[in-house]
Amino acid sequence: MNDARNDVRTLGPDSYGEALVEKPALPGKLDLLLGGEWVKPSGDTLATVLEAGTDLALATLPALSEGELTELLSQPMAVGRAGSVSDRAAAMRRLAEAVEANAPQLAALESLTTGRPIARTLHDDAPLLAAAWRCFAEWTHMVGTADAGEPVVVPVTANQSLLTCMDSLAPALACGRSVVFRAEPQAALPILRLMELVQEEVALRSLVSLVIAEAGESEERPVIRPALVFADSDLDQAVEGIVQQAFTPALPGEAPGCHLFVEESIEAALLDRLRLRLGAARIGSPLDPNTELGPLPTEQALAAFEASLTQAKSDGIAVERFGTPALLTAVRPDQTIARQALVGPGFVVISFRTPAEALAKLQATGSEVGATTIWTEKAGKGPALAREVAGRSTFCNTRDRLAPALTYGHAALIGGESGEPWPFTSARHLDAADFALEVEAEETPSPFVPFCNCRLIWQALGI
Amino acid sequence: MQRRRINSAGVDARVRDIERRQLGKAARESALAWAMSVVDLTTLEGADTPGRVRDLCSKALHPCSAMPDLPRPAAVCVYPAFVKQAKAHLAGSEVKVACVATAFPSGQYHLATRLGEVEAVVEDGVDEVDMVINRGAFLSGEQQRVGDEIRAVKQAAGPAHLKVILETGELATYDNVRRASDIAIAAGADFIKTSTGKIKPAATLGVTLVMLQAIRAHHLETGQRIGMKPAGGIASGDDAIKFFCLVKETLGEAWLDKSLFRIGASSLVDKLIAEIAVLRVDRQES
Repeated sequence: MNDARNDVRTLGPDSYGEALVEKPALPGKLDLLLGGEWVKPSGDTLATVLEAGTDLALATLPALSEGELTELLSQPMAVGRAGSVSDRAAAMRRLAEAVEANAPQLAALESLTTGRPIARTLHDDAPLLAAAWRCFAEWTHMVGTADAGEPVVVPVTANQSLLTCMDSLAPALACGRSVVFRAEPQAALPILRLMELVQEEVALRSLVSLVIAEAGESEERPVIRPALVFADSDLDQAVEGIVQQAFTPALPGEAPGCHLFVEESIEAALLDRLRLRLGAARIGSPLDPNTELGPLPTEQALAAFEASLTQAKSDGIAVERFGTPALLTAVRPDQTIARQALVGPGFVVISFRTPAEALAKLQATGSEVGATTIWTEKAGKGPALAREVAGRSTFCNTRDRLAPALTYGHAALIGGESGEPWPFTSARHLDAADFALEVEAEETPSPFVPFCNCRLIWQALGI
Repeated sequence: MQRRRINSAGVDARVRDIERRQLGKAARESALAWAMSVVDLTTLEGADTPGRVRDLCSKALHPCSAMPDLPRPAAVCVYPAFVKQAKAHLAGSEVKVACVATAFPSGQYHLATRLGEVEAVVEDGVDEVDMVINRGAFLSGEQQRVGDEIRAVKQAAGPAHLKVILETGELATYDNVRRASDIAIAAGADFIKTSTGKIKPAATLGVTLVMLQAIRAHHLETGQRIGMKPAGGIASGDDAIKFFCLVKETLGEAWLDKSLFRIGASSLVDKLIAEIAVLRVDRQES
């Protein structure tokens, strides 16, 4: 007991023991799903799914080549026949129960392929996944059944969580529209399992399709993910939130990393806490229930991350390392590292003196703004800044805490002593087409106005 | 003193993470033995007798005859009337004698009475004084008075270590807990302590985290290390391990020492011993 080698006090932060979650069973079907039918692709392209963290091969999936995918999507897709409103609602409620029953497998598949820690996928995401089914089951009666139209095509990127897929799937099925998931192979396994569950529901089964294809070249501008921390915020809790933010992309298509804008009067105090937190961070296997941060970058992403850090050093920026995570301090918005997305878990720290200067420095980076968090205890400041920041979505005083009806595209404002969501939501949508709706909704800032996350419902209904 | 507001949703989210920590068997056994070493073995009942205090001191000196390598608890905590007796029983050992004072548990007596009580137990040789703050004064906005009273008690306690009980169950909000922690630390507390054990909720993980964050902030600003003592409601090995993880991940290894961390409990030690015994049998059989 007194042997220092066995003393749990002196062992490192990853030393709580050997309690790894068992590797999950793979989905029974590893084929393509078209209009409710499992089919094998005509081509012979295969894609390998790797285990996050080890990069070992986990499964081989039949994938479509770029040409096959283009051809498939250019043809009229089979549009499934939706069940009645009542049948769909009942089916979605049963799916909520099925998700709960299969949560360990779904969560472990997601952790194993995306690297998100099992603590997040199982305890945070899975309950919300079930809640989203139940939430949108109630919507079916309100929205009725949409006219048949082209299926909604939803790209799923390699690091995308299953929960964010629900943002498209649940509303579309609520109004009886077809959905085609175009998943990158690395993200496909948990969706395949979810599709197996959907296939057990007659009222919904023909509405879903899943094709697997490698992502094409993207010419999108890099998206930075800022956190704005004000002097009136609770620094200890802000640090918890921004550490999570630096590892886990909140929205599809985003890279990890955080551009940390911090009010100068609390910069030293915040960085002290951040250093302590990073030093004690539990980073390890995504299947270790004690792992709290992840995913770690793949080998390829790590090389790009290291290259960007080397560039930052050559620009005279101080770079502190905490294992893989990096802290880059005293950065100016005109420096290269401030103007590009980080591709690994790190913080680019830029100080400001006033809210106006924070916005000016954010805009001076010249980058597109992705999911943003604002840390302030002043109730009015968060929503006001959310409008100015104009990011893809804005969270206030929360670390990617998502309500079932607020999967993404909206702010979750949580703060104050009560810890309850504030009755105000402010965000910017991904699609310009939705913006008018958003503005209209903001004129009625009531927690009971269900304008949350209904982008695809409006699209489906042609509103 | 800067007034900090606490984001309770953030505190609760962090606590949920900590509650899910799972330790392997070896780490668990080590953590349970650690918990043994930081317990303040406590009896604070109206029915306490010299015999009860004698048994408690004996338990502290010889926790388990079958496992003599187990650490002794850090201290025995008794009412003022039993300090002399406890000191005599524990003489020559490293186990400290702690004593509740200042009109425990309410704190609602004249300051002169409370200071007299502290001086008396110091004269009896007490090592550690667990004082209660005047919650009535705190909640009525007389926070300066709360700080002044702690300073007066600190002076009266002299060489004895001072643990300041906030009675968080009566403070009700995380904001109040943080504020009271900051006041106690600024007034010279050696330890801050959650509860008397007489009020529920007592030592929750949430209030403990907020108090640990106050200690961390003070350490970052001054370099001084203040101790922490959750007390009340910690009744199982699982409970103790959650506090172990919370302290280790918030303040670091330096605080995993009985000079900086204690658990106030009356029935915990027997449960820790029983669980360690089971783990050792498992280890020997495997």
